[in-house]
Amino acid sequence: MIATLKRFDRAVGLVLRWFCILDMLALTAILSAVVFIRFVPIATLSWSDEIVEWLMAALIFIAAAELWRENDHFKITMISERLEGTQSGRIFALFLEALTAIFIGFFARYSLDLTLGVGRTSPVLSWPMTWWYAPMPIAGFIMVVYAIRNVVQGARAVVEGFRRNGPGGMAEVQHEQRNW
Amino acid sequence: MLTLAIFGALIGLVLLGVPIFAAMGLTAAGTFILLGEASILPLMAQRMYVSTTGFTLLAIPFFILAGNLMNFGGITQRVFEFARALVGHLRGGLGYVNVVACMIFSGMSGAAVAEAAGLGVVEIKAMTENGYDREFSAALTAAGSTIGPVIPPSIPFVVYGSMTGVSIIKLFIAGFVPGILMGVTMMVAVYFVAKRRKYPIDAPPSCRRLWVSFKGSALALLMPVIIIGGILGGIFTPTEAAVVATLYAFVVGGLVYRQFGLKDVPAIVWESVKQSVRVLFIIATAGFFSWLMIHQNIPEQVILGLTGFSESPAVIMAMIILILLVLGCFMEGIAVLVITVPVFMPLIARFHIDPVQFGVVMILCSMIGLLTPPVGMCLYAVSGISGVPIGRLSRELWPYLVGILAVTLLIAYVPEVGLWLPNLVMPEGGR
Repeated sequence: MIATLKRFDRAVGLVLRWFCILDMLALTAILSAVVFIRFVPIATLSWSDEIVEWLMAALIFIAAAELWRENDHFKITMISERLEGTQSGRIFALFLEALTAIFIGFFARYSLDLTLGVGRTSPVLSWPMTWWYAPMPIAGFIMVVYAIRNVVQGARAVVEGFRRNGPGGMAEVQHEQRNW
Repeated sequence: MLTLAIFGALIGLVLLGVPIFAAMGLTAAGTFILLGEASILPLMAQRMYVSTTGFTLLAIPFFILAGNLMNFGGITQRVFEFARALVGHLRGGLGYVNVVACMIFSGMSGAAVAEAAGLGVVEIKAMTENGYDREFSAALTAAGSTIGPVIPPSIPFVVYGSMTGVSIIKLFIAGFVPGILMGVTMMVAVYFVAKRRKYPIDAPPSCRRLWVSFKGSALALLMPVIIIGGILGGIFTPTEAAVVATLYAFVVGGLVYRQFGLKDVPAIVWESVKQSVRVLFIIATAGFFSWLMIHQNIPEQVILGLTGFSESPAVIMAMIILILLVLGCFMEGIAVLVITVPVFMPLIARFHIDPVQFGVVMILCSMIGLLTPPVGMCLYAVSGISGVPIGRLSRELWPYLVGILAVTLLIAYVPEVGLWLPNLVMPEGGR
């Protein structure tokens, strides 16, 4: 079971990364074409603004999901590093994961509402605006899944810590917390 | 009171270790819920989308990609060699080389951390191999990398311009003088340290060596000309200039210098996307956080609070700088920018402070933040490259920090220093 989940996790990471790489290359190609065509007017690229906006939104939100999967967003690890390896550290890490999961939950829920509720179409391409907002709930969903993983892993680490320390585990935790 | 509670909660969450994007979102969402205004929460997604999908911000991933392509493409190494041929023969010459290389590289890359990571590897290796202390080499590299976002192109100026509507081109031009002054103050510091510690001198360069190093780096040195010339000449927008810089770095590094192949491109692109999105996702949640500030009239409250202390623009500027420096110690530079710009803009309008001058002051303060613990991004990047612990690095950094602070105060209190060049080039303002 764990091996399957790990394989799935790696596959998700690979898909997200390649999506972002191709997205960035597409942005480079379109924007280069826009600059080129300004000097050599062989075609009109009236659609380019809308596609660029979609590519940018997709890049930011999908890459944010991959960064979340890799635990690679900006954060200060000063306190976590001090507490690393202790039961207090594990409880503290679980607390941080839970806090972040709350925000991610908000983000996923409201971005889904926005995407499903938008009734407009884009001005040039006349495509439903749902397409433009869609990267947000997709990223939100992925982030929620990994936030749950992190919370579960954090909770398991805490339980494991209590088990290893035996009945005195809680006392150790409280002592460490007081010291901190 | 509410203002203090909001900023206290935000800084508290960031210091605890909540990712910065989540800290901003949680603070905003939590405040709305506690004030009984949860009906505003559905705006979160829309604010996040709108605040990041502007064309201007697209410059960020491209300037970062261009910087990474230059690092991989051997352009960085060539810039260093050229700077070495120019000033390496003075006492502590490699210290000056470090600063000059940073100033040249600043004209190509807009991100300090990319500069620290790229040039840093080359600079620290060369300096330690030539008898310089590792701490001195690392500290100077970290300090020099902060020139990157001041001399154009500059990612923080793109963010500031996109948030305030101030001409990014004018901001870019305004960055030249303080960037050069930063370099000069660092070279003065190098002079005194090198003299005291008796650092070595390179042999004076022959004309042939100068010519060879210039020829070797000519294509690299052309890059700032293309970027800055293209923007100032009205040929490109800053975003388009970033794309052109990327293509140029790809052609020069990959096809001319042949330092990387097609198979390396995905890894370089992904690394650049990662570096960019760490910043852009913070800007996204800051969009929602800014909504909270506007909704709760926080800028008005800040104006009332600060003007309660004094009505003097000089004192107000001092307080703003102090706030920015304190926040810069605890938060990532762009995060400080996106949080404080909506708060301070009405204040500087009231005191008739030029928004271009103020933008430069803000960016200079955030550069100091990059070098101060506990959240100095350049400090961590250079510590990682050099293996010098943060504590020792910080102790070695103070002469350069004093220099950057002096430049900041000069720009803040003598506006003409920072504004004469943009006003000369663009007297009518411009976008």
